[in-house]
Amino acid sequence: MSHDTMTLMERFNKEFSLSEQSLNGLTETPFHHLRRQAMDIFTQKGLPTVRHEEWKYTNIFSVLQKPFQKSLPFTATETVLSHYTIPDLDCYRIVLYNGVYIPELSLVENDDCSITTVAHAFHEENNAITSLYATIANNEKNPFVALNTALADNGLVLTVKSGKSIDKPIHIMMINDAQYGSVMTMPRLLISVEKNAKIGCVVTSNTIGDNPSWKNSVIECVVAENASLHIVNCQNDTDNATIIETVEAHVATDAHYAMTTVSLGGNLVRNDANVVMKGKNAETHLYGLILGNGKRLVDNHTIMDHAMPHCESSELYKYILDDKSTGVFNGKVFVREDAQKTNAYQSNRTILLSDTATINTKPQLEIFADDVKCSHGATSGQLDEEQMFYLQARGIGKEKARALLLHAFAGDIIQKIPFTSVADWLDRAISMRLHDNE
Amino acid sequence: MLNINNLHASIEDKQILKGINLQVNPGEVHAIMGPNGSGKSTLASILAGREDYTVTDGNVLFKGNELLEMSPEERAQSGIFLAFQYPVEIPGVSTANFLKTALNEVRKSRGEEPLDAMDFLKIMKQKAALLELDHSFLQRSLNEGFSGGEKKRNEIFQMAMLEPTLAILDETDSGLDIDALKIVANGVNALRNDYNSFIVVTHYQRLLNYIVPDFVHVLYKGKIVRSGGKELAMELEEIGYDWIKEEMAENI
Repeated sequence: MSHDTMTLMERFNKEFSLSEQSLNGLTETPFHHLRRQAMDIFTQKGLPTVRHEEWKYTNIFSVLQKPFQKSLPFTATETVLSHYTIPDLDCYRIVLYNGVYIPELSLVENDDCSITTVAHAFHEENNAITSLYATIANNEKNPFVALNTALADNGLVLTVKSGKSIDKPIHIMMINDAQYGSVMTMPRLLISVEKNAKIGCVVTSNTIGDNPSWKNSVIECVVAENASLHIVNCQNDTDNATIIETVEAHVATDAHYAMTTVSLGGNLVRNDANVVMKGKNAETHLYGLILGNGKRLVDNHTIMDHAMPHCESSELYKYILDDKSTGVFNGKVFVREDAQKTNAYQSNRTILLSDTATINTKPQLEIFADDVKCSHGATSGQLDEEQMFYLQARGIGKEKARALLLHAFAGDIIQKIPFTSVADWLDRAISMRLHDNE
Repeated sequence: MLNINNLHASIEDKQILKGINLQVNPGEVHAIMGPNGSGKSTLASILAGREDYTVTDGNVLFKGNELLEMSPEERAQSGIFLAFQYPVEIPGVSTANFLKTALNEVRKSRGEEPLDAMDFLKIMKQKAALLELDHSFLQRSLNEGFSGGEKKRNEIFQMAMLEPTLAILDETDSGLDIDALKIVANGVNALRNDYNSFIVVTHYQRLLNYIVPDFVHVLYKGKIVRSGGKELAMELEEIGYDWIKEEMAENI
């Protein structure tokens, strides 16, 4: 049966049996059992259509119709990587090339953290890891998580040991290579930050080559008591790329978790950022900056689940949309019955630069506790004419004035990034994009 | 330097200016006074290039060029400066960065090299001292959270930085206490010379005690109904604007 005549589901099932065959009969392990279970869930649920409330604005069917293959040849070299490093960033490095962990290109010489693969952790019966894996990201609620759990042959586990603070951020490079065909990848990562430990991660997503590319990544984060995790998530993929990314986190007592997503590339991008605050006095911040042009669609869905009292969360997502681009922001905040003294803030702000750009925004607050402070707001509009006139009246031309105002709007998010060289690098990338529109 | 000829302008079909004639020569300070709603701020806005108004008749020459055909930035680059009545807040753009961009754009339009960071800082320090602004002020987002007085001082500071040939001060005195008023006036006076001109739009005579005008014009219902020397301002302060209203009523 050729790719053309197979249905999407048949193709995914074929990929699953291919990966099963590669196990050489070792199909009765707990790890594989988990994968088969996930495949069953996926088969049963199927792919979400636009009739599905959570996928109302984002039609993934047409983009996923391409003849994607999971196992394509690739050559990951230092030279290839050099195009995607961040200037002046002193960091460790993890490379996931086509979703596959490349140890020889990964550099984490620090005994305070450990890196292993999911398969290895299951083989070693490493309970600290196996008890967490695939429990943070939810197979039942998100079919793409189920598909990733089923098809990710070998996810990666990064553990920061109890009480350790990692001196440099870890640059996690996720590269899709679409030079040799239509590539589908399933990057999978578990980041476990143990008690009192601290780490920063910079995740970059890039695509090489002109064939269609689809990345379905899942990152699970466990931030233990009094631990801290900051993720900077940079999506710089090309126009032929579809990105479906799920980042789910459990945040414990006194812990701090933040993720700043800067989405500059990819034709269709769907990000799910879900957080459960499982302990008291935890703090979470989700920030997003989205630049849309052409026919780009960027859909951010967030769930901020306040399960315990005295926690604080904030969300700020900013969109700059031009041409025929579309933005979606759907932010759910749950404040459970026990979560008294919750402080939750959510904001979505959009600047529309053309009449044909669209933002669909939907805040959703469900509050079951009575002593809480929650607020949300959404604004969208054009650039402020008074501000434009003020700048022009000082001799600054229209295009430069526009870039200056947009840059200031974006700067709000860039300032949240704790690594100066990453912030500078993104700042430059954004400036270039904004001036490109001149 | 500036020649306003028979200028008529309207906003949303409402005629605001009904034939303004005014000539401003280098080195002169003109005060434009008048009751509320007489068209003072409209005149200032039209000269700076605000697009909300439609010019229905007349023309304006600035240094021999048709001013009304120029974009706001071109006007600024050729030497016009409007000190806003209500300066707008721009979060995320520092005053220093904004001014550096503005100054270099103006320089570029004149075919001059951009200032390097050191030179710019030196000039900025010097001019900030003139308006009694401290350094932290310049690093803050433009006008964001500034008091009324700070905003007006910032306008004059910007004027000092950009060194315009024609500065239009639109009710710069409104909302200022006497100390701030003096600082602003000192700033303006320090910039006065034989080559640049000022149009000071104000409702009250108070500012003109400190910025002494060469000419005073009274604007009423879109026309200059009386012009005179600085003594006209004093007279207006004493007798108010009611006489104009009466005089105009008689003429109808």
